[in-house]
Amino acid sequence: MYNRNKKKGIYIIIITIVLIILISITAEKANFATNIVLYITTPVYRLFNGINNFIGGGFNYVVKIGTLQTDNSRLLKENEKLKYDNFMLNEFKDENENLRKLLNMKEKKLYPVVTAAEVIGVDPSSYRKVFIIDKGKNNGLSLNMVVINYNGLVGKLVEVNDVTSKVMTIADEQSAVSCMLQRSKEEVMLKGANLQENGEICKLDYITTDTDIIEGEDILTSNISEIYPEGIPVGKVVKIETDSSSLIRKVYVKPNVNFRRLNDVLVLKNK
Amino acid sequence: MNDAFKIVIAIFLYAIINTIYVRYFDIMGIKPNINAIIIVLIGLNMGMTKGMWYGLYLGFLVDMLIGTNLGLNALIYMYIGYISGALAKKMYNENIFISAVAIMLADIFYSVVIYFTYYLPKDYGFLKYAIRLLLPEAVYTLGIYLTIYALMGLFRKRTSF
Repeated sequence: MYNRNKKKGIYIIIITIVLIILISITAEKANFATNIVLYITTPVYRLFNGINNFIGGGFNYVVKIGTLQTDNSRLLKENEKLKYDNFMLNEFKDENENLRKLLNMKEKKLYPVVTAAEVIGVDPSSYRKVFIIDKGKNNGLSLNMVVINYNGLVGKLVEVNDVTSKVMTIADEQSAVSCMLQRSKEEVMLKGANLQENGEICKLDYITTDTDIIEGEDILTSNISEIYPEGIPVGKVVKIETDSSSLIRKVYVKPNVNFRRLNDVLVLKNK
Repeated sequence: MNDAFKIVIAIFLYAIINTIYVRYFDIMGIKPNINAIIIVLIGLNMGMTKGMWYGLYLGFLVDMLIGTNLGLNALIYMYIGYISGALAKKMYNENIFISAVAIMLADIFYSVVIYFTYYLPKDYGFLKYAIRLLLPEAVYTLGIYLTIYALMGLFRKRTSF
């Protein structure tokens, strides 16, 4: 009995040492074993998500069947307005290009969409805001590519395997994005603060009392960022706390993207 | 099919389902640690050795599916499984109180290890971490366990008639 327990203890010590070595060498790196497992799990993910969408879709259809007609007429009106807006924007775009040529200014670089992807899973722990998308190296993705959806910036790729990738959202405590204030174009650093407030919030670092910032102001990605393309909407300032004893203000930003309801995203090429 | 193989397949499917559906349980950024519930129950009911190996297996799966470092969850859940197995040897007699306390302690152990690996290097205060994440998560996890326990009790009553 004593010997058996001793043997178990030795097993535990050996496994612990092996795991600690493994942890230190595999930090945020795609590895062979994970890749193999993900080849097996991805079809299972697809199956469950398919069932999920089917049930959710059917349920939504039943719930919304009464409002379909009013929704349709509202959308038709909105579509007319958007068509007009689109026409005007195209006019402005042409005008902008011509004026840039006239002034000999460099054309703004556009960052092409690599692929659209679907969110298939999220981190089950509370301390990280990371999720899995169903596209990987095989679809042309690589590390640090930028992930957005139609509301704005979602995050960046932190691990790319063959068939899936892991996205770290901007609300994760490890995330830092170089941004600018929309009105004054002042550079700010946006950091994730998922341990504050209600978990889906970011904060701005180093905002002094003389920074021109107001509640409700839009935050965009800046042009000095090494990863993120310029001008992607990130969020809105929701709270500014001024401490009378210090020059630094605490500024909280609510991301435009609702991470809890995130299903489809776009992956952009980074700089 | 033998029992061990069935459990391996069940844990595999559970790990995937957990990452898909856990976001619907998110309250103010806090998610319940259902992995801890599963491993503590395996440890308490099947003993130290099985608790340890299944903990290691589930931890590896979580690391591969969503973790950043391969082995961190594996290490934590291996210890959770082993210690709950050891606890069962000493005092477990299908008592809800013991399993509830074990699950809460397992979740707190998980959060403390995470604090030391992720938040301590960033000078994040432990008290702030405990109030914002560690304690709410432990209470939430316990609540989920007690709910499942109560539902299982109801189900058992229904089927026994």
